[in-house]
Amino acid sequence: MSAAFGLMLVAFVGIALLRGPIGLAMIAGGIAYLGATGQDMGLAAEQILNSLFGSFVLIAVPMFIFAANVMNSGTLSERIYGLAHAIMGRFRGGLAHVNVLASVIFSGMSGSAIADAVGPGMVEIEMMCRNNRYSRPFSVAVSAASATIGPIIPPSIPMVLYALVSGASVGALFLGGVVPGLLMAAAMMLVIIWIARRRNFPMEAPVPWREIPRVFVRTLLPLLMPVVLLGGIYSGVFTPTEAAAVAALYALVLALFVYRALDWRGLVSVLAESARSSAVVGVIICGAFLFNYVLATEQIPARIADWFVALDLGPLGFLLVANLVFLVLGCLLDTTTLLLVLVPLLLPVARAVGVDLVHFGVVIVVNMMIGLLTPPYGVLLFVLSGLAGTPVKEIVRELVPFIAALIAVLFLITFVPSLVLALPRLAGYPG
Amino acid sequence: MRSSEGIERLKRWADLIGAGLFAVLFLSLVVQVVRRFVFGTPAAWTEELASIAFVWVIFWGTAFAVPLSTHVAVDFVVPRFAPRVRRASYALGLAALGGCFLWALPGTADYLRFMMRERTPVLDWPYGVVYGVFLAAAVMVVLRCLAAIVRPEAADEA
Repeated sequence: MSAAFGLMLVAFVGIALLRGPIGLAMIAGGIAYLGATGQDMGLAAEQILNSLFGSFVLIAVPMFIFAANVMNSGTLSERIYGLAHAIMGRFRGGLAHVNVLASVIFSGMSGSAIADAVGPGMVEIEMMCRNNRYSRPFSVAVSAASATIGPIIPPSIPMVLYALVSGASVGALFLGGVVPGLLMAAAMMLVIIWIARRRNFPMEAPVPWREIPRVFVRTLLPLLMPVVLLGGIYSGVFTPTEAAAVAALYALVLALFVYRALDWRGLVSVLAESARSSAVVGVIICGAFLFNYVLATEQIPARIADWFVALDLGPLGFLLVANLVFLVLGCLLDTTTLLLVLVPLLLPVARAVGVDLVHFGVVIVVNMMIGLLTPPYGVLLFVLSGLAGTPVKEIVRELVPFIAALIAVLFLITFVPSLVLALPRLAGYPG
Repeated sequence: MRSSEGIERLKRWADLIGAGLFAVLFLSLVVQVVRRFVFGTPAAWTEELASIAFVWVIFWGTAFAVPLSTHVAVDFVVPRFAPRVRRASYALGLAALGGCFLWALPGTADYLRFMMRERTPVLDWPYGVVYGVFLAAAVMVVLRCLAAIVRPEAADEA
Protein backbone atom coordinates (compact mmCIF):
# COMPACT_ATOMS: atom_id res chain seq x y z
CA MET A 1 0.00 0.00 0.00
CA SER A 2 1.58 3.25 -1.14
CA ALA A 3 1.64 6.60 0.67
CA ALA A 4 -0.51 8.05 -2.10
CA PHE A 5 -3.14 5.42 -1.37
CA GLY A 6 -3.02 6.42 2.30
CA LEU A 7 -3.55 10.04 1.28
CA MET A 8 -6.60 9.02 -0.75
CA LEU A 9 -8.11 7.20 2.22
CA VAL A 10 -7.44 10.14 4.53
CA ALA A 11 -9.04 12.58 2.06
CA PHE A 12 -12.09 10.38 1.49
CA VAL A 13 -12.70 9.38 5.12
CA GLY A 14 -11.90 12.88 6.40
CA ILE A 15 -14.25 14.69 4.02
CA ALA A 16 -17.00 12.07 4.49
CA LEU A 17 -16.80 12.18 8.31
CA LEU A 18 -16.98 15.97 8.21
CA ARG A 19 -20.36 15.65 6.45
CA GLY A 20 -19.12 16.19 2.91
CA PRO A 21 -21.13 14.35 0.23
CA ILE A 22 -19.84 10.74 0.09
CA GLY A 23 -19.75 10.47 -3.71
CA LEU A 24 -17.88 13.74 -4.13
CA ALA A 25 -15.56 12.74 -1.27
CA MET A 26 -14.59 9.59 -3.19
CA ILE A 27 -13.83 11.65 -6.29
CA ALA A 28 -11.78 14.07 -4.18
CA GLY A 29 -9.85 11.11 -2.73
CA GLY A 30 -9.17 9.80 -6.22
CA ILE A 31 -7.95 13.23 -7.32
CA ALA A 32 -5.62 13.41 -4.30
CA TYR A 33 -4.22 10.00 -5.28
CA LEU A 34 -3.59 11.07 -8.88
CA GLY A 35 -1.93 14.26 -7.65
CA ALA A 36 0.28 12.46 -5.15
CA THR A 37 1.43 9.88 -7.72
CA GLY A 38 2.16 12.65 -10.22
CA GLN A 39 -0.32 11.32 -12.78
CA ASP A 40 -2.36 13.32 -15.26
CA MET A 41 -5.19 14.96 -13.30
CA GLY A 42 -7.48 14.57 -16.29
CA LEU A 43 -7.46 10.85 -15.57
CA ALA A 44 -10.19 11.36 -12.95
CA ALA A 45 -12.62 12.73 -15.52
CA GLU A 46 -11.54 10.11 -18.07
CA GLN A 47 -12.10 7.14 -15.73
CA ILE A 48 -15.45 8.41 -14.49
CA LEU A 49 -16.86 9.47 -17.86
CA ASN A 50 -15.74 6.44 -19.86
CA SER A 51 -17.05 4.04 -17.21
CA LEU A 52 -20.36 5.85 -17.01
CA PHE A 53 -20.77 6.12 -20.78
CA GLY A 54 -20.00 2.42 -21.18
CA SER A 55 -22.37 1.07 -18.52
CA PHE A 56 -25.70 0.79 -20.32
CA VAL A 57 -27.14 -1.51 -17.64
CA LEU A 58 -26.83 1.34 -15.11
CA ILE A 59 -29.50 3.31 -16.97
CA ALA A 60 -31.99 0.88 -15.43
CA VAL A 61 -31.43 2.73 -12.15
CA PRO A 62 -32.87 6.14 -13.18
CA MET A 63 -35.70 4.33 -14.98
CA PHE A 64 -36.69 2.42 -11.83
CA ILE A 65 -36.46 5.69 -9.88
CA PHE A 66 -38.77 7.32 -12.44
CA ALA A 67 -41.27 4.43 -12.37
CA ALA A 68 -41.43 4.59 -8.58
CA ASN A 69 -41.95 8.38 -8.60
CA VAL A 70 -44.73 8.07 -11.17
CA MET A 71 -46.48 5.39 -9.13
CA ASN A 72 -46.17 7.42 -5.95
CA SER A 73 -47.61 10.51 -7.58
CA GLY A 74 -50.79 8.65 -8.56
CA THR A 75 -53.40 6.75 -6.60
CA LEU A 76 -51.55 3.46 -6.84
CA SER A 77 -50.60 3.31 -3.16
CA GLU A 78 -54.27 3.64 -2.16
CA ARG A 79 -55.30 0.92 -4.62
CA ILE A 80 -52.69 -1.50 -3.35
CA TYR A 81 -53.67 -0.65 0.22
CA GLY A 82 -57.29 -1.46 -0.66
CA LEU A 83 -56.40 -4.91 -1.96
CA ALA A 84 -54.14 -5.76 0.99
CA HIS A 85 -56.82 -4.50 3.38
CA ALA A 86 -59.50 -6.68 1.83
CA ILE A 87 -57.32 -9.77 2.28
CA MET A 88 -55.56 -9.22 5.62
CA GLY A 89 -57.71 -6.70 7.55
CA ARG A 90 -59.88 -9.39 9.16
CA PHE A 91 -57.05 -10.78 11.33
CA ARG A 92 -55.86 -9.54 14.72
CA GLY A 93 -53.40 -6.73 14.13
CA GLY A 94 -54.93 -6.61 10.65
CA LEU A 95 -53.61 -3.24 9.56
CA ALA A 96 -50.05 -4.20 10.46
CA HIS A 97 -50.39 -7.30 8.28
CA VAL A 98 -51.91 -5.12 5.56
CA ASN A 99 -48.80 -2.95 5.77
CA VAL A 100 -46.51 -5.93 5.11
CA LEU A 101 -48.66 -7.41 2.34
CA ALA A 102 -48.94 -4.04 0.57
CA SER A 103 -45.13 -3.82 0.62
CA VAL A 104 -44.91 -7.27 -0.98
CA ILE A 105 -47.29 -6.19 -3.76
CA PHE A 106 -45.60 -2.84 -4.27
CA SER A 107 -42.16 -4.40 -4.34
CA GLY A 108 -43.16 -6.28 -7.48
CA MET A 109 -43.33 -2.88 -9.16
CA SER A 110 -40.64 -0.89 -7.42
CA GLY A 111 -36.96 -1.51 -6.95
CA SER A 112 -36.37 0.94 -4.16
CA ALA A 113 -37.01 0.67 -0.42
CA ILE A 114 -37.30 4.44 -0.07
CA ALA A 115 -40.06 4.56 -2.72
CA ASP A 116 -41.91 1.83 -0.85
CA ALA A 117 -41.60 3.76 2.42
CA VAL A 118 -42.70 7.15 1.11
CA GLY A 119 -45.51 5.70 -1.06
CA PRO A 120 -47.50 2.83 0.44
CA GLY A 121 -45.52 3.06 3.70
CA MET A 122 -46.87 6.55 4.49
CA VAL A 123 -50.45 5.64 3.45
CA GLU A 124 -50.37 2.72 5.88
CA ILE A 125 -48.95 4.79 8.73
CA GLU A 126 -51.86 7.22 8.37
CA MET A 127 -54.40 4.38 8.31
CA MET A 128 -52.87 2.63 11.32
CA CYS A 129 -52.72 5.83 13.39
CA ARG A 130 -56.27 6.93 12.55
CA ASN A 131 -58.31 7.03 15.80
CA ASN A 132 -55.13 6.06 17.70
CA ARG A 133 -55.64 2.37 17.05
CA TYR A 134 -51.94 1.71 16.73
CA SER A 135 -49.16 3.73 18.28
CA ARG A 136 -47.32 5.96 15.84
CA PRO A 137 -43.84 4.51 16.52
CA PHE A 138 -45.11 0.96 15.95
CA SER A 139 -46.84 1.95 12.70
CA VAL A 140 -43.72 3.71 11.43
CA ALA A 141 -41.60 0.70 12.44
CA VAL A 142 -43.79 -1.71 10.45
CA SER A 143 -43.66 0.56 7.38
CA ALA A 144 -39.89 0.90 7.66
CA ALA A 145 -39.29 -2.82 8.17
CA SER A 146 -41.63 -3.91 5.38
CA ALA A 147 -40.11 -1.38 2.96
CA THR A 148 -36.93 -3.47 2.99
CA ILE A 149 -38.76 -6.07 0.87
CA GLY A 150 -38.92 -3.54 -2.01
CA PRO A 151 -35.49 -4.24 -3.52
CA ILE A 152 -35.54 -7.98 -2.69
CA ILE A 153 -38.62 -8.97 -4.67
CA PRO A 154 -37.83 -7.89 -8.25
CA PRO A 155 -37.25 -5.36 -9.71
CA SER A 156 -34.36 -4.06 -7.64
CA ILE A 157 -32.03 -1.08 -7.95
CA PRO A 158 -29.31 -2.47 -5.63
CA MET A 159 -29.29 -5.75 -7.57
CA VAL A 160 -28.65 -3.85 -10.80
CA LEU A 161 -25.68 -2.18 -9.08
CA TYR A 162 -24.44 -5.57 -7.86
CA ALA A 163 -24.80 -7.00 -11.36
CA LEU A 164 -22.65 -4.12 -12.63
CA VAL A 165 -19.74 -4.85 -10.28
CA SER A 166 -19.99 -8.66 -10.28
CA GLY A 167 -21.00 -9.45 -13.84
CA ALA A 168 -23.77 -11.72 -12.48
CA SER A 169 -26.97 -11.87 -14.53
CA VAL A 170 -29.60 -9.28 -13.59
CA GLY A 171 -32.34 -11.77 -14.47
CA ALA A 172 -30.95 -14.49 -12.21
CA LEU A 173 -30.48 -12.02 -9.35
CA PHE A 174 -34.05 -10.74 -9.73
CA LEU A 175 -35.52 -14.26 -9.62
CA GLY A 176 -33.21 -15.18 -6.75
CA GLY A 177 -34.81 -12.46 -4.63
CA VAL A 178 -38.38 -13.79 -4.86
CA VAL A 179 -38.22 -16.51 -2.18
CA PRO A 180 -36.08 -14.48 0.27
CA GLY A 181 -38.50 -11.55 -0.14
CA LEU A 182 -41.49 -13.75 0.69
CA LEU A 183 -39.60 -15.23 3.64
CA MET A 184 -38.93 -11.72 4.95
CA ALA A 185 -42.65 -10.94 4.72
CA ALA A 186 -43.55 -14.18 6.51
CA ALA A 187 -41.02 -13.52 9.27
CA MET A 188 -42.41 -10.02 9.84
CA MET A 189 -45.97 -11.31 9.92
CA LEU A 190 -44.94 -13.82 12.60
CA VAL A 191 -43.55 -10.94 14.66
CA ILE A 192 -46.82 -9.04 14.18
CA ILE A 193 -48.91 -12.08 15.28
CA TRP A 194 -46.78 -12.32 18.42
CA ILE A 195 -47.03 -8.59 19.22
CA ALA A 196 -50.73 -8.47 18.30
CA ARG A 197 -51.53 -11.15 20.91
CA ARG A 198 -49.49 -9.45 23.61
CA ARG A 199 -50.93 -6.00 23.01
CA ASN A 200 -54.39 -7.15 21.97
CA PHE A 201 -54.40 -5.29 18.64
CA PRO A 202 -57.74 -4.55 16.91
CA MET A 203 -59.24 -6.39 13.94
CA GLU A 204 -60.88 -4.65 10.99
CA ALA A 205 -64.44 -5.23 9.88
CA PRO A 206 -63.89 -8.00 7.32
CA VAL A 207 -64.44 -7.10 3.68
CA PRO A 208 -66.96 -9.71 2.41
CA TRP A 209 -65.28 -12.32 0.21
CA ARG A 210 -67.65 -11.58 -2.65
CA GLU A 211 -66.33 -7.99 -2.66
CA ILE A 212 -62.77 -9.15 -3.19
CA PRO A 213 -62.89 -9.76 -6.94
CA ARG A 214 -64.00 -6.13 -7.40
CA VAL A 215 -61.12 -4.84 -5.26
CA PHE A 216 -58.78 -7.12 -7.15
CA VAL A 217 -59.89 -5.77 -10.53
CA ARG A 218 -59.25 -2.22 -9.28
CA THR A 219 -55.60 -3.23 -8.73
CA LEU A 220 -55.30 -5.59 -11.68
CA LEU A 221 -53.47 -3.26 -14.07
CA PRO A 222 -50.70 -2.32 -11.61
CA LEU A 223 -50.42 -6.00 -10.63
CA LEU A 224 -49.62 -6.87 -14.24
CA MET A 225 -46.51 -4.71 -14.13
CA PRO A 226 -44.15 -7.31 -12.61
CA VAL A 227 -45.48 -9.84 -15.12
CA VAL A 228 -44.57 -7.55 -18.02
CA LEU A 229 -41.22 -6.75 -16.45
CA LEU A 230 -40.01 -10.22 -15.54
CA GLY A 231 -41.66 -11.84 -18.55
CA GLY A 232 -39.82 -9.39 -20.79
CA ILE A 233 -36.43 -9.98 -19.20
CA TYR A 234 -36.74 -13.79 -19.06
CA SER A 235 -38.06 -14.30 -22.55
CA GLY A 236 -35.04 -12.29 -23.70
CA VAL A 237 -37.34 -9.70 -25.23
CA PHE A 238 -35.91 -6.79 -23.22
CA THR A 239 -32.57 -6.00 -21.68
CA PRO A 240 -32.96 -5.04 -18.00
CA THR A 241 -32.51 -1.38 -18.98
CA GLU A 242 -35.27 -1.57 -21.57
CA ALA A 243 -37.49 -3.46 -19.15
CA ALA A 244 -37.03 -0.66 -16.63
CA ALA A 245 -38.03 1.92 -19.26
CA VAL A 246 -41.08 -0.17 -20.20
CA ALA A 247 -42.04 -0.37 -16.52
CA ALA A 248 -41.80 3.41 -16.29
CA LEU A 249 -43.84 3.81 -19.48
CA TYR A 250 -46.49 1.43 -18.16
CA ALA A 251 -46.74 3.33 -14.87
CA LEU A 252 -46.91 6.60 -16.81
CA VAL A 253 -49.75 5.43 -19.07
CA LEU A 254 -51.71 4.21 -16.04
CA ALA A 255 -51.17 7.46 -14.13
CA LEU A 256 -51.79 9.84 -17.06
CA PHE A 257 -54.57 8.18 -19.00
CA VAL A 258 -56.18 5.31 -17.08
CA TYR A 259 -56.39 6.69 -13.54
CA ARG A 260 -55.89 10.33 -14.54
CA ALA A 261 -53.99 10.85 -11.30
CA LEU A 262 -51.19 12.84 -12.90
CA ASP A 263 -51.43 15.92 -15.15
CA TRP A 264 -48.73 17.32 -17.42
CA ARG A 265 -47.54 19.84 -14.86
CA GLY A 266 -47.25 17.01 -12.35
CA LEU A 267 -45.30 15.00 -14.91
CA VAL A 268 -42.71 17.77 -15.27
CA SER A 269 -42.15 17.86 -11.53
CA VAL A 270 -41.88 14.06 -11.41
CA LEU A 271 -39.27 14.24 -14.21
CA ALA A 272 -37.31 16.94 -12.39
CA GLU A 273 -37.47 15.01 -9.13
CA SER A 274 -36.27 11.83 -10.89
CA ALA A 275 -33.42 13.77 -12.50
CA ARG A 276 -32.30 15.10 -9.11
CA SER A 277 -32.48 11.68 -7.43
CA SER A 278 -30.56 10.14 -10.34
CA ALA A 279 -27.86 12.78 -9.93
CA VAL A 280 -27.57 12.00 -6.23
CA VAL A 281 -27.15 8.25 -6.89
CA GLY A 282 -25.07 8.93 -10.00
CA VAL A 283 -22.46 10.94 -8.07
CA ILE A 284 -21.88 7.99 -5.73
CA ILE A 285 -21.59 5.67 -8.72
CA CYS A 286 -19.03 8.01 -10.30
CA GLY A 287 -17.08 8.25 -7.06
CA ALA A 288 -17.05 4.46 -6.86
CA PHE A 289 -15.74 4.18 -10.45
CA LEU A 290 -12.74 6.36 -9.64
CA PHE A 291 -12.21 4.77 -6.24
CA ASN A 292 -12.26 1.27 -7.73
CA TYR A 293 -9.81 2.34 -10.43
CA VAL A 294 -7.34 3.33 -7.71
CA LEU A 295 -8.02 0.16 -5.71
CA ALA A 296 -7.33 -1.93 -8.81
CA THR A 297 -4.12 0.02 -9.56
CA GLU A 298 -2.95 -0.69 -6.02
CA GLN A 299 -4.06 -4.35 -6.38
CA ILE A 300 -6.04 -4.13 -3.16
CA PRO A 301 -8.78 -6.65 -4.13
CA ALA A 302 -6.18 -9.30 -4.99
CA ARG A 303 -4.43 -8.78 -1.66
CA ILE A 304 -7.66 -9.05 0.28
CA ALA A 305 -8.47 -12.22 -1.66
CA ASP A 306 -5.06 -13.75 -0.81
CA TRP A 307 -5.50 -12.84 2.82
CA PHE A 308 -9.00 -14.32 3.01
CA VAL A 309 -8.09 -17.48 1.13
CA ALA A 310 -5.15 -18.00 3.49
CA LEU A 311 -7.63 -17.96 6.39
CA ASP A 312 -9.18 -21.07 4.83
CA LEU A 313 -12.72 -20.30 6.00
CA GLY A 314 -14.55 -22.25 3.33
CA PRO A 315 -17.65 -20.87 1.56
CA LEU A 316 -19.91 -20.80 4.62
CA GLY A 317 -17.28 -19.28 6.86
CA PHE A 318 -16.65 -16.61 4.26
CA LEU A 319 -20.37 -15.83 3.91
CA LEU A 320 -20.70 -15.62 7.68
CA VAL A 321 -17.79 -13.21 7.99
CA ALA A 322 -19.05 -11.14 5.04
CA ASN A 323 -22.51 -10.94 6.63
CA LEU A 324 -21.15 -9.79 9.97
CA VAL A 325 -18.90 -7.21 8.33
CA PHE A 326 -21.73 -5.78 6.22
CA LEU A 327 -24.22 -5.75 9.10
CA VAL A 328 -21.77 -3.55 11.01
CA LEU A 329 -20.87 -1.38 8.01
CA GLY A 330 -24.57 -1.09 7.11
CA CYS A 331 -25.04 0.86 10.34
CA LEU A 332 -22.53 3.43 9.13
CA LEU A 333 -22.62 3.66 5.33
CA ASP A 334 -25.21 3.87 2.56
CA THR A 335 -26.11 0.95 0.30
CA THR A 336 -24.74 2.35 -2.96
CA THR A 337 -21.31 3.03 -1.49
CA LEU A 338 -21.14 -0.40 0.14
CA LEU A 339 -22.27 -2.17 -3.03
CA LEU A 340 -19.98 -0.35 -5.40
CA VAL A 341 -16.84 0.03 -3.29
CA LEU A 342 -16.73 -2.67 -0.60
CA VAL A 343 -18.52 -5.54 -2.33
CA PRO A 344 -16.04 -5.56 -5.27
CA LEU A 345 -13.28 -6.08 -2.70
CA LEU A 346 -14.91 -9.34 -1.64
CA LEU A 347 -15.91 -10.63 -5.07
CA PRO A 348 -12.51 -12.21 -5.86
CA VAL A 349 -12.70 -13.97 -2.49
CA ALA A 350 -16.22 -15.23 -3.21
CA ARG A 351 -15.00 -16.65 -6.52
CA ALA A 352 -11.91 -18.18 -4.93
CA VAL A 353 -13.80 -19.98 -2.15
CA GLY A 354 -16.48 -21.17 -4.56
CA VAL A 355 -19.50 -19.10 -3.50
CA ASP A 356 -22.13 -18.69 -6.20
CA LEU A 357 -22.20 -15.01 -7.23
CA VAL A 358 -25.99 -14.85 -7.52
CA HIS A 359 -26.37 -16.35 -4.04
CA PHE A 360 -23.76 -13.95 -2.69
CA GLY A 361 -25.49 -10.99 -4.34
CA VAL A 362 -28.95 -11.72 -2.97
CA VAL A 363 -27.55 -12.39 0.53
CA ILE A 364 -25.57 -9.14 0.47
CA VAL A 365 -28.53 -7.07 -0.77
CA VAL A 366 -30.79 -8.52 1.97
CA ASN A 367 -28.03 -7.71 4.44
CA MET A 368 -27.89 -4.12 3.21
CA MET A 369 -31.64 -3.68 3.46
CA ILE A 370 -31.28 -4.46 7.17
CA GLY A 371 -28.61 -1.73 7.16
CA LEU A 372 -31.30 0.74 6.04
CA LEU A 373 -32.98 0.19 9.42
CA THR A 374 -30.01 0.22 11.77
CA PRO A 375 -28.85 3.44 13.44
CA PRO A 376 -26.88 5.66 13.42
CA TYR A 377 -27.02 5.62 9.61
CA GLY A 378 -30.35 4.12 8.55
CA VAL A 379 -31.88 5.88 5.58
CA LEU A 380 -35.38 4.44 6.10
CA LEU A 381 -35.28 5.68 9.69
CA PHE A 382 -34.41 9.22 8.61
CA VAL A 383 -36.93 9.38 5.79
CA LEU A 384 -39.87 8.01 7.77
CA SER A 385 -38.96 9.83 10.96
CA GLY A 386 -39.04 13.09 8.96
CA LEU A 387 -42.25 12.35 7.06
CA ALA A 388 -44.20 10.87 9.98
CA GLY A 389 -42.83 13.24 12.62
CA THR A 390 -41.73 10.44 14.95
CA PRO A 391 -38.33 10.53 16.71
CA VAL A 392 -35.82 7.96 15.42
CA LYS A 393 -35.29 6.61 18.96
CA GLU A 394 -38.95 5.61 19.35
CA ILE A 395 -39.03 3.93 15.93
CA VAL A 396 -35.88 1.96 16.71
CA ARG A 397 -37.36 0.61 19.94
CA GLU A 398 -40.32 -0.83 18.02
CA LEU A 399 -38.07 -2.05 15.21
CA VAL A 400 -35.93 -4.39 17.32
CA PRO A 401 -38.08 -7.56 16.91
CA PHE A 402 -38.44 -6.90 13.16
CA ILE A 403 -34.70 -6.46 12.71
CA ALA A 404 -34.16 -9.70 14.64
CA ALA A 405 -36.62 -11.50 12.33
CA LEU A 406 -34.90 -10.10 9.23
CA ILE A 407 -31.48 -11.20 10.52
CA ALA A 408 -32.89 -14.69 11.08
CA VAL A 409 -34.03 -14.78 7.43
CA LEU A 410 -30.63 -13.45 6.35
CA PHE A 411 -28.83 -16.34 8.03
CA LEU A 412 -31.39 -18.84 6.75
CA ILE A 413 -30.77 -17.85 3.13
CA THR A 414 -27.04 -17.71 3.81
CA PHE A 415 -26.90 -21.31 4.99
CA VAL A 416 -29.50 -22.71 2.57
CA PRO A 417 -28.37 -21.43 -0.85
CA SER A 418 -31.15 -23.25 -2.68
CA LEU A 419 -33.69 -20.86 -1.14
CA VAL A 420 -32.08 -18.25 -3.37
CA LEU A 421 -30.94 -20.38 -6.29
CA ALA A 422 -33.86 -22.77 -6.87
CA LEU A 423 -35.96 -20.32 -8.89
CA PRO A 424 -33.13 -19.01 -11.10
CA ARG A 425 -32.09 -22.62 -11.76
CA LEU A 426 -35.63 -23.49 -12.81
CA ALA A 427 -35.38 -20.63 -15.30
CA GLY A 428 -32.12 -22.02 -16.65
CA TYR A 429 -29.44 -20.37 -14.51
CA PRO A 430 -26.48 -22.76 -14.73
CA GLY A 431 -24.91 -21.92 -11.31
CA MET B 1 -33.85 40.89 -2.83
CA ARG B 2 -33.74 41.19 -6.60
CA SER B 3 -30.64 39.07 -6.88
CA SER B 4 -32.24 36.26 -4.83
CA GLU B 5 -35.30 36.40 -7.10
CA GLY B 6 -33.01 36.07 -10.08
CA ILE B 7 -31.31 33.06 -8.49
CA GLU B 8 -34.69 31.45 -7.80
CA ARG B 9 -35.63 31.87 -11.45
CA LEU B 10 -32.32 30.38 -12.57
CA LYS B 11 -32.86 27.43 -10.23
CA ARG B 12 -36.29 26.83 -11.71
CA TRP B 13 -34.86 26.85 -15.20
CA ALA B 14 -32.04 24.52 -14.17
CA ASP B 15 -34.64 22.13 -12.78
CA LEU B 16 -36.71 22.33 -15.98
CA ILE B 17 -33.66 21.56 -18.12
CA GLY B 18 -32.90 18.61 -15.83
CA ALA B 19 -36.46 17.38 -16.38
CA GLY B 20 -35.97 17.82 -20.14
CA LEU B 21 -32.74 15.82 -20.11
CA PHE B 22 -34.45 13.07 -18.15
CA ALA B 23 -37.28 13.05 -20.68
CA VAL B 24 -34.72 12.60 -23.49
CA LEU B 25 -33.19 9.67 -21.59
CA PHE B 26 -36.59 8.04 -21.09
CA LEU B 27 -37.86 8.68 -24.60
CA SER B 28 -34.76 7.35 -26.35
CA LEU B 29 -35.24 4.05 -24.52
CA VAL B 30 -38.93 4.02 -25.40
CA VAL B 31 -38.08 4.66 -29.06
CA GLN B 32 -35.50 1.86 -28.89
CA VAL B 33 -38.10 -0.64 -27.67
CA VAL B 34 -40.84 0.55 -30.03
CA ARG B 35 -38.59 0.50 -33.11
CA ARG B 36 -37.38 -3.00 -32.41
CA PHE B 37 -40.72 -4.60 -31.54
CA VAL B 38 -43.28 -2.59 -33.40
CA PHE B 39 -41.38 -1.74 -36.56
CA GLY B 40 -38.67 -4.40 -36.47
CA THR B 41 -36.05 -1.80 -37.38
CA PRO B 42 -33.72 -1.34 -34.41
CA ALA B 43 -31.80 1.93 -34.38
CA ALA B 44 -28.24 2.19 -33.10
CA TRP B 45 -28.53 5.85 -32.12
CA THR B 46 -31.08 5.30 -29.35
CA GLU B 47 -28.67 3.52 -27.03
CA GLU B 48 -26.01 6.15 -27.62
CA LEU B 49 -28.41 9.04 -27.06
CA ALA B 50 -29.62 7.41 -23.84
CA SER B 51 -26.02 7.05 -22.61
CA ILE B 52 -25.32 10.71 -23.44
CA ALA B 53 -28.51 11.86 -21.71
CA PHE B 54 -27.57 9.73 -18.69
CA VAL B 55 -24.19 11.48 -18.37
CA TRP B 56 -25.90 14.85 -18.71
CA VAL B 57 -28.67 14.08 -16.18
CA ILE B 58 -26.09 13.17 -13.54
CA PHE B 59 -23.71 16.08 -14.00
CA TRP B 60 -26.29 18.72 -14.88
CA GLY B 61 -28.05 17.80 -11.65
CA THR B 62 -24.80 17.89 -9.66
CA ALA B 63 -23.89 21.25 -11.16
CA PHE B 64 -27.18 23.14 -11.08
CA ALA B 65 -30.03 21.28 -9.39
CA VAL B 66 -28.74 19.45 -6.29
CA PRO B 67 -27.41 21.45 -3.30
CA LEU B 68 -24.45 19.92 -1.43
CA SER B 69 -26.66 19.27 1.60
CA THR B 70 -29.00 17.06 -0.46
CA HIS B 71 -26.27 14.56 -1.36
CA VAL B 72 -25.83 11.39 0.66
CA ALA B 73 -23.57 12.21 3.61
CA VAL B 74 -22.47 10.77 6.93
CA ASP B 75 -24.74 12.68 9.27
CA PHE B 76 -23.99 11.35 12.72
CA VAL B 77 -20.58 12.83 13.53
CA VAL B 78 -20.59 16.56 12.85
CA PRO B 79 -24.12 17.31 14.23
CA ARG B 80 -22.96 16.09 17.67
CA PHE B 81 -20.34 18.84 17.98
CA ALA B 82 -20.94 22.22 19.62
CA PRO B 83 -22.26 24.77 17.07
CA ARG B 84 -18.95 26.56 16.51
CA VAL B 85 -16.94 23.36 16.19
CA ARG B 86 -19.67 21.99 13.92
CA ARG B 87 -19.44 24.94 11.55
CA ALA B 88 -15.64 24.90 11.58
CA SER B 89 -15.39 21.16 10.89
CA TYR B 90 -17.99 21.28 8.13
CA ALA B 91 -16.06 24.16 6.55
CA LEU B 92 -12.81 22.20 6.85
CA GLY B 93 -14.33 19.20 5.01
CA LEU B 94 -15.72 21.45 2.30
CA ALA B 95 -12.39 23.25 1.92
CA ALA B 96 -10.68 19.90 1.34
CA LEU B 97 -13.41 18.83 -1.09
CA GLY B 98 -13.44 22.07 -3.06
CA GLY B 99 -9.63 22.15 -2.98
CA CYS B 100 -9.33 18.72 -4.58
CA PHE B 101 -11.82 19.60 -7.32
CA LEU B 102 -10.02 22.90 -7.95
CA TRP B 103 -6.71 21.02 -8.16
CA ALA B 104 -8.13 18.78 -10.91
CA LEU B 105 -9.79 21.56 -12.94
CA PRO B 106 -6.89 22.33 -15.32
CA GLY B 107 -6.27 18.63 -16.04
CA THR B 108 -10.00 18.07 -16.56
CA ALA B 109 -10.23 20.99 -18.99
CA ASP B 110 -7.19 19.67 -20.89
CA TYR B 111 -8.72 16.22 -21.14
CA LEU B 112 -12.03 17.59 -22.43
CA ARG B 113 -10.25 19.81 -24.97
CA PHE B 114 -8.40 16.74 -26.19
CA MET B 115 -11.70 14.84 -26.43
CA MET B 116 -13.17 17.47 -28.78
CA ARG B 117 -11.31 15.61 -31.54
CA GLU B 118 -12.79 12.21 -30.69
CA ARG B 119 -16.32 11.49 -31.84
CA THR B 120 -19.06 9.13 -30.64
CA PRO B 121 -19.45 6.04 -32.86
CA VAL B 122 -23.06 6.50 -34.06
CA LEU B 123 -24.18 10.10 -33.68
CA ASP B 124 -20.69 11.42 -34.49
CA TRP B 125 -20.83 14.04 -31.72
CA PRO B 126 -17.54 15.27 -30.23
CA TYR B 127 -16.87 13.57 -26.88
CA GLY B 128 -15.74 16.97 -25.60
CA VAL B 129 -19.38 18.11 -25.85
CA VAL B 130 -20.87 14.85 -24.51
CA TYR B 131 -18.51 14.95 -21.52
CA GLY B 132 -18.35 18.76 -21.23
CA VAL B 133 -21.04 18.90 -18.56
CA PHE B 134 -18.57 17.21 -16.19
CA LEU B 135 -16.48 20.39 -16.19
CA ALA B 136 -19.55 22.46 -15.30
CA ALA B 137 -20.22 20.09 -12.40
CA ALA B 138 -16.61 20.29 -11.20
CA VAL B 139 -16.63 24.11 -11.32
CA MET B 140 -19.96 24.26 -9.53
CA VAL B 141 -18.75 21.89 -6.79
CA VAL B 142 -15.86 24.30 -6.14
CA LEU B 143 -18.23 27.29 -6.10
CA ARG B 144 -20.79 25.55 -3.88
CA CYS B 145 -18.06 24.63 -1.37
CA LEU B 146 -16.84 28.21 -1.39
CA ALA B 147 -20.36 29.60 -0.91
CA ALA B 148 -21.05 27.25 2.01
CA ILE B 149 -17.78 28.23 3.70
CA VAL B 150 -18.25 31.97 3.20
CA ARG B 151 -21.92 32.02 4.23
CA PRO B 152 -22.37 29.17 6.71
CA GLU B 153 -25.84 30.44 7.68
CA ALA B 154 -27.05 29.63 4.15
CA ALA B 155 -24.93 26.47 3.82
CA ASP B 156 -27.99 24.27 3.32
CA GLU B 157 -28.70 25.93 0.00
CA ALA B 158 -25.13 25.79 -1.36
